[in-house]
Amino acid sequence: MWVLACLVGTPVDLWAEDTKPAAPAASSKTMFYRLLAQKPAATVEDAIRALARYKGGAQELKPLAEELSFLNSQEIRFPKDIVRRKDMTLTMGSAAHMLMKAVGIKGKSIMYQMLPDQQRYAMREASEQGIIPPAAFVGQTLSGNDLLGMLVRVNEIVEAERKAAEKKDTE
Amino acid sequence: MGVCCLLILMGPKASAETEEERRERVERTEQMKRTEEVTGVTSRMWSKISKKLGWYVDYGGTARYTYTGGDEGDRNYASPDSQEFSKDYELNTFLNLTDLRRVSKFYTRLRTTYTERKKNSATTKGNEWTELEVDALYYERKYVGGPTRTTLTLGRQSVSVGRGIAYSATADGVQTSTTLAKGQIVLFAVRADRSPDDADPGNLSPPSRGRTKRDFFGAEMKWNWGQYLNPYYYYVENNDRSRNEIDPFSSATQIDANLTHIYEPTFYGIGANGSITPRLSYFAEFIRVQGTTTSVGNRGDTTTVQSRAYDAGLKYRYASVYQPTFSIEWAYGSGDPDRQSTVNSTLYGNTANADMAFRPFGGLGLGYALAPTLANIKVRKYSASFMPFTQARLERPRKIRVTVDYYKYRKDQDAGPTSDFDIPSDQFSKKEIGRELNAELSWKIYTDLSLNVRWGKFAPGSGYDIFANGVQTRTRAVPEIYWRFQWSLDI
Repeated sequence: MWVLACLVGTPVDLWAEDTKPAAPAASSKTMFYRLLAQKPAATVEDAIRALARYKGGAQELKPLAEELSFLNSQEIRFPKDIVRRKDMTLTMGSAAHMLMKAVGIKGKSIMYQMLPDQQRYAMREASEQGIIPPAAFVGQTLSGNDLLGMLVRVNEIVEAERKAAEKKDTE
Repeated sequence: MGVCCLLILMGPKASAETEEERRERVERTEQMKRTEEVTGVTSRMWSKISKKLGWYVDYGGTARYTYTGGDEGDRNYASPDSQEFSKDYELNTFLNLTDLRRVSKFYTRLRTTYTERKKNSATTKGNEWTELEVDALYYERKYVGGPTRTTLTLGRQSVSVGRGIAYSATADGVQTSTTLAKGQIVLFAVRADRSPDDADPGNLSPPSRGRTKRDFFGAEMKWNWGQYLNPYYYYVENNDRSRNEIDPFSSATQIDANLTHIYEPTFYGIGANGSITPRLSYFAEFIRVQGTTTSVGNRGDTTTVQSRAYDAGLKYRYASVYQPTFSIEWAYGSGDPDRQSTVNSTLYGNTANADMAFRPFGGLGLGYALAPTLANIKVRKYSASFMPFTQARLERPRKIRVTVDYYKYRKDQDAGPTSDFDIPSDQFSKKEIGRELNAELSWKIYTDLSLNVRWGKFAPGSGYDIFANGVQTRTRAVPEIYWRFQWSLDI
């Protein structure tokens, strides 16, 4: 829920100068989320940066290459041409697939467990888990707020799984 | 005449199978309904195509394996008992095209089935492949104007009124559904589909003369008055266009060379559902039927159809981690004391007087083993269900639900026939049809993989005793068993 607490602020083209992040140190931790929440259309880059923060990367804005390098260290791999595609509008299919793989949510669908690389089953799984709306399409574009909503839901699922695992261990 | 007698004898046998097929169809339609909504399951390739076409493309399917077994002929004292089974391999595929504004939609669903059966007789087909059947093929468009939303559907679609007893079928035609602030109005004009929802089973058996020629027109009004009371009213009439056609079976005998075929009942239904308390819900529906038909004895004369039926029940959801529910249901379909040995045929069976047997174009699930139709029968059903493993350490078994049903069947008219051919219907017949115990296990192992196991045992009552000149010549028939395993996977 910490993500939602940050959804206030003024719009600034934060990623315009990727290599020269310039944001006040005090607010830089929340600035990313504030700006993302106001974007009418999220991009592939937004998803990468959001994932990096979710996985415990630095909250301050860094060059995209560093964020990718961090995610790579977390065993989250992207296609080789991801930097070239960074400005592309994020679609529901890409976001669902990326999040499901990155966070490592245990699937409740047998087809997803057998074929985790298929975007089709990742979408179905994400829909079943409530990460994306049931009436979502692969090609549907996301706003920044939509992406944040997905992150919140993912966080809830991971927390629930962690608690269930802890309970199992104590029994 | 001999052929007519054969038909009359065959009718009820076919009807029991028809009832099971009807139940399967209703369940399949319900299961596949989710695919008719726009879902997030499609592929990256189709995503690109969708953008170019301006239409979202969604596709998928369900694969099912069903093993059905049982005893054959246990209720028939004269025939030897034998085990029977069938294995069905079924594939349902769908294609859903929705425009980017989500206003228009094309939906298609196809089904193919391969069946393996135990070959009990020379005439039984051992293996059979049912080629592609079109279960749905329609165009849908939504209109929004102020507080009302109207959906227009054209093509082959599922149509149902009330609880699906009077009319529920896959049919070709047009249907509109208008949602208002406090209710809904549904109007439809459709033509009965030849298969699997043949409205006239037994009449159009081989040699086939093509599809059923029966048109249905209906209207249903539903009111949404809140938690306690949601009433509805419907009206369904039909036009039997099969009249004055040559009886396909008359080629051998030439008796009914210009058979008049009229069975045109009009259904008036009224019902309601709601919750008495947050945990106690109810439903009730009463159906009155009036119409026109002919009698077997004199095809030129028309007689009236005057029948009725009801279905009512209470369900209580107990507050517990095991999520138990308890329910009781009463169902009734009127019978005709002077009808000949079938209640299901729209062509044969009625005699000179009014036809009082309830003969719907939908149905109600009333047990697995006997699987009767709601005609000349009174049924009481007691049901309980619970989830026994909600506290299990492993996650998967927590989704198991067990349901147990107990049925008591009685005839409405002791001298009239029921849907079971093996039960005698004469002046000495008794009303007690019997009792049945059903058990079902439903397990959603994964979100896309499920197992369903069913078992049923029917114990015939005194209604199966046979008398000759008032002297009992046969005691009770032996119980009938039914079981079924079904795996289902969404692909």
